Amino acid sequence: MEYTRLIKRCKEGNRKAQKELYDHFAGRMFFLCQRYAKDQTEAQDMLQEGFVRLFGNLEKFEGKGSFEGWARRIFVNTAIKYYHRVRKHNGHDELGHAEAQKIDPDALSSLHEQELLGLVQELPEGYRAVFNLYAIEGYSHKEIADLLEIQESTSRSQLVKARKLLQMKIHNLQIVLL
Amino acid sequence: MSKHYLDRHFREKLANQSADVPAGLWDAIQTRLPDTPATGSRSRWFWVLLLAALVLGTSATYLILQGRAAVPEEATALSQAADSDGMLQAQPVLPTEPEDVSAAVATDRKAGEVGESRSQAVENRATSELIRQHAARRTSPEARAPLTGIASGTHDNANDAQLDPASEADEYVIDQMRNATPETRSSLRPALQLYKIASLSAGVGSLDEYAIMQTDCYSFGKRGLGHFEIDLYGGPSYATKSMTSRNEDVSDYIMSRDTTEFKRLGFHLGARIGYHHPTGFFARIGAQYTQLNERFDYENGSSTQTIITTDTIFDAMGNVVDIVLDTVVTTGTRIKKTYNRFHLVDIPILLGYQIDNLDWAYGIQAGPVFNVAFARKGDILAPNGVPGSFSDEQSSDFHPVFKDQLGLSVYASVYAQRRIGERLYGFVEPHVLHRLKSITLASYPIDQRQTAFGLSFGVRMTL
Repeated sequence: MEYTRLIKRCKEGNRKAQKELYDHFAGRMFFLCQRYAKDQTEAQDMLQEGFVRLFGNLEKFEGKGSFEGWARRIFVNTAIKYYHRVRKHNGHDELGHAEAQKIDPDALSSLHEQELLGLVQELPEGYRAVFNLYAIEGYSHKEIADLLEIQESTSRSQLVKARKLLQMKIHNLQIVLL
Repeated sequence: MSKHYLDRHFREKLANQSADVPAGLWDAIQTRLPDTPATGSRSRWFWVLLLAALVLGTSATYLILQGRAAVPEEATALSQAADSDGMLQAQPVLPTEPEDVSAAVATDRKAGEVGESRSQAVENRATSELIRQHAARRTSPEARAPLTGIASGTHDNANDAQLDPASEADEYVIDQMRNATPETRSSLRPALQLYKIASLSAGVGSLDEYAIMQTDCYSFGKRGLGHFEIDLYGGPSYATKSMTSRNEDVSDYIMSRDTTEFKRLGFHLGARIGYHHPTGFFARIGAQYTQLNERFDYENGSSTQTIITTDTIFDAMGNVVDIVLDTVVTTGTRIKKTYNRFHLVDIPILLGYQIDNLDWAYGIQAGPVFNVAFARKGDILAPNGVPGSFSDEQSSDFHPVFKDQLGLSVYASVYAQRRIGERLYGFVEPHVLHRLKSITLASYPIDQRQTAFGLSFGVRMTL
């Protein structure tokens, strides 16, 4: 989709154009925020903050590459900012001993998006951030380490633990369903 | 199951999902954004005004220069009119003017080289008018005499035309052609064409006999070819629309809109300036304002209204507390009727061709139209089925639906014009204007196209 004219009008401060851009991206960006947030309230705050940052930095978008990709990075960075804020107050969370569980592929496929989202949201802050960045956004461990200000090895271990935790939760869901 | 599969599964399911955004979030966001500067709309109107100023400026400059060239400093402009017998008389405007056209020409010729170019314009205009008068009389029954004596005689006195045998009129016209310079021939060409058409229409003469006019008249690239003209017009307009689903099927919503929106007659006003080449081809540019009207008629027989009656009291700590005294839900019919208005400003650039036939002319023209402004006011049925405003951004039920500019459109029309004065024509022109792009925003689920029809009545003034 061509956003060039819309973005140009947004850069001029045209409020209608900004609303149009918001209407177009708010749904997808809100889901992205929900993946990183622990609850709806935090996701709404992230979305609000993300759009303010997006419109504030729109001048920096030069039209090279996908606008949606650029917008997603803004919202991911906003989510990471929240992660740092939470970590500063709560410290780092660690999982005890979670054993990897076998999952029935059919059971996994039967889970709806909202159920999967709920599983991700239940992950501890650090695991959730790493899992989102690595598994869903496609960042490398080095990039994640830079963004989250952690060691690469920490990123790797948190990803492993996040997967184990998710497998455990899915396994438990299977039991409940059976 | 592999770990990679887990990642991939989450990515496929969650990467591009969308969620319903809570209402009111935009309000919170826009309070944190800088105030909207007026530069966007100002720049748009700036260009509109600049274009209008250019058109007016060019016209005014041309008129001034034309006036200076046509009116000699000695103020010897001629005003001609036909008397009740159809005979020509030259009327002096100032006491110093010569008594008739031929005398004016003779006087101008004696004026020497300095005044020659100025007087030449006067002479050409006088000659053109005489030829036009001959053409007009050609169509009268008594003047339909056979064409004889072409190329014989040397009548260069305008008063000879008053004798009015058809042959002498022909001689006069042919002589004018023979004695004329290339520039003069170019100036006389429209009148000569008129004369030729009139003669042929009256069954007098043949194409071969008038060949000298045609061959001698064509002189491309010379000064004095063609003329400028200004159009002022207006009339009723009526727009049709077509709606299709943009991404997902919203045919039910389209049907709902169709049953709540009713077209009404609008109007348009415009001004154009054009250049008309003697070959019949022309180019025109202008500005057109159009107001399209619609009626939004909504009626919901099962609408509910909730009335909550509250009272404000202070608790023991002195805090203000609202208590609900009563809640009443009433069911009824909600009726909403709004007269929607759409205001458009367009810049048409037209090319066309005109066929002249005595005092009548018929033309066809087409070209691109650039929309520079699209303002509107009214209500619409929103995708959620609730009526709301598409124009009032401050309204709680505001729905952004339409674009501010509609981009490129195409315009096509035909017209018939009739001479109503020396340089003035009246015309009637039915037209169609089709918007090439959707008039709705990309975020709106319906792709809406618009085609407007109009009937213009106007006046055209040649410069």
